[in-house]
Amino acid sequence: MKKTVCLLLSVLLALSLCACVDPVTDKKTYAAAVEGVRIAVDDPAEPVLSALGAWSSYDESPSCAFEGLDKIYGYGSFEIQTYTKDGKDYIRAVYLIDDGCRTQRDIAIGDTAEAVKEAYGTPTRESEGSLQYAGEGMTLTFLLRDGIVTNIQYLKDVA
Amino acid sequence: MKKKILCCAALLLATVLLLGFLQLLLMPKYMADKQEGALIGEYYRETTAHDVLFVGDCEVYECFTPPTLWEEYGVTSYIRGSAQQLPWQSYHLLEEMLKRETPKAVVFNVYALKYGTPQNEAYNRMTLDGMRMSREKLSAIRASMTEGESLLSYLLPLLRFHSRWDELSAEDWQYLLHRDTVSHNGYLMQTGILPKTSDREGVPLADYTLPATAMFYLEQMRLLCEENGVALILIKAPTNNWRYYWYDEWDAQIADYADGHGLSYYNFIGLDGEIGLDWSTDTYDGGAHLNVYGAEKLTSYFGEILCRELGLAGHRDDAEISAVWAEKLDAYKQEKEKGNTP
Repeated sequence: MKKTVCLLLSVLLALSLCACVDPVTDKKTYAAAVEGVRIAVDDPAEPVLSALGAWSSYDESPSCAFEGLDKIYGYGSFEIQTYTKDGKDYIRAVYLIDDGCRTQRDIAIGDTAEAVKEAYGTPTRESEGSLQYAGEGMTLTFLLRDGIVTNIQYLKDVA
Repeated sequence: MKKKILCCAALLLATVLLLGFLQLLLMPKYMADKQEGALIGEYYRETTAHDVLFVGDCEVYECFTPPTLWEEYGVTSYIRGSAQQLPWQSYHLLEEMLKRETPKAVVFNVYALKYGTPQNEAYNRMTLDGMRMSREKLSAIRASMTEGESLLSYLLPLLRFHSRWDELSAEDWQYLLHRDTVSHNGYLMQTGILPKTSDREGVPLADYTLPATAMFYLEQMRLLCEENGVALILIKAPTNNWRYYWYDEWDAQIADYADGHGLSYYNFIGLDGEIGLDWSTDTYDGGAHLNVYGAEKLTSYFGEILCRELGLAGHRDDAEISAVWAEKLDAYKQEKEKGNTP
């Protein structure tokens, strides 16, 4: 009887350990890289902001009911939005807003939808106005107008 | 045998009482901090009916003041708002309220129609834990749960909050068996002033179509109001900052919906001059929400629309209602005079 219980417990333990393994390990590669700084959704904001130096514009907004501010830092060609968790700021989004920045796979505003697909493969979601690539807890979105990229967004998914 | 049964019953009763006590102790009280979490439950304290019920997110409980509607128009109202109240939550709250009373109108703020899926457990809790047990509450929970949440944890909140034992404060003991009233008929007063300094717009979106789920619940609200002979009025509060941005594309969809169903839709964005809003004095957080001075101006403006559209004459001649509201108005004025800026 004892042996059976031990065996069952061992099997359960093994199964629960298997369940913790995430087969997708490299999805978070959808990170922006500007001015030599890697910026990934959910990373702590402080090291990124320090590395980038002075921003050219800044806005903040409170969240309803909860403490902490959402902040948006402008750097000309790109913007970084942060959120607060447990008193610390993290990256919520990165927006590439003109062709002064390119993605890690060398896509910039003004490129074609075909160029995006060539660099990033088949999108997770595709519509006339956008190509979207799901990452781990985030989505990389290329907004399109007439088949041309007009905005690139690395955006944290809703928890 | 009889003794054994009695012992078992006593043990069971003691266990139930202990668990009940722990639940009362460990549940967040939302008194000094995050008062938004106390709003939904306060509705049950009402003793008189209302002409107008508001439902929606922070844009209702921060933008309209029932005491002002009473003072200026003799109109009775209640705001059943909560932080990030999602459309399905508004619908089920409305279902619950319309079982208790039949107002002349329901006012729904449309901002939350941008959400098509459950969002955040902490916000869910602030809306759902305050509801009394009912079929509507169960439906609201089922529609609202995010991944990893369980229905059982809403029915027995101790399962969710048992780990709060090391965060317990004096407030948890003080409000073990009762709660203070934090709102004025659902209006959560803010007297601080932090001017709006930015006109930044929202970031462009991949898709501007309002989610089908959200529109489904809007339709359910419309049908529910129709069945009950209640006018449904759609509004968008005048606040519009980059974080909580109301896009023209969304506005057009709501305007079309309202037009198609013969509903009134008032978008207050950009009507600052008509309303009298001054963004250097009428917001407490840089433009995301109105403070009491802004809320009074908007309420005054909207009150006139409500009276005209619904033909409301007010209840100033009703001694019982007047007495109830005199007390409410007094409490409101006292808090406004005292101020609540941290």
